[in-house]
Amino acid sequence: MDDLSDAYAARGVKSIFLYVREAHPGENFPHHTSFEQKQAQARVFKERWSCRRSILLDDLHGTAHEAFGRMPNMTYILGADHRVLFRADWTDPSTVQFAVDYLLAVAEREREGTAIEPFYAELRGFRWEDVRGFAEGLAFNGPRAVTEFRDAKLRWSRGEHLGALDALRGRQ
Amino acid sequence: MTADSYNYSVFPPENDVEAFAHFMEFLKVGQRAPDPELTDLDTGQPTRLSSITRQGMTVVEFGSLT
Repeated sequence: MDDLSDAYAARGVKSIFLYVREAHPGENFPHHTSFEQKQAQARVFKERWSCRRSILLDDLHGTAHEAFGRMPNMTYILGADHRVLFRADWTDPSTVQFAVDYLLAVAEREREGTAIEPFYAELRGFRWEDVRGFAEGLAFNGPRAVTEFRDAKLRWSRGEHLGALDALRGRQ
Repeated sequence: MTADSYNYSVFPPENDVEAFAHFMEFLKVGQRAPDPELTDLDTGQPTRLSSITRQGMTVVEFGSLT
């Protein structure tokens, strides 16, 4: 997403990383119990991933996270009027780039004088899972994060917890 | 939601089922987005998304270290 941010900055597209709660807390990076801890772990995130985007922190209660839907790695594109132009419950750079290209093309046609009329549309997104990278990330967080995710996957495979939503989320 | 229940210590949080189930009906495109107070990591100063969105289209990714 930083590469996408760099590529589109010259075309006026802003990019933000909004830091929320820890999704897979572990011994090395536990759940937040203070705002100072949240700031410290956000600094580790910035360094670990060489994040070049501005990082804004949600409060300790997750006020912003809750207001946008509380998904762990969602992406929104907002317009200059602060209205939602695009939203996805997971972040996939190629899908976001597809949306940015489309929205920039719309803006360009509007500048050229084409009459533009907004309408409602939806898109089923697809993402390529980085299984190895995700496993390395869990190990970085601590052994407990690895164990808890393994146990959660078993529950999901039995149709429990998020597994009960597979049909709703288009996975069956 | 309290800070303790929001910042779960054991994955997965049970109330995530609700969030995952309702996202599709939540904050549709075309609606005005929330604009709660945030903190800039680099400056430590309070800010809001609207201070950025008013400059143009803005991609906002939510996430964390873990």
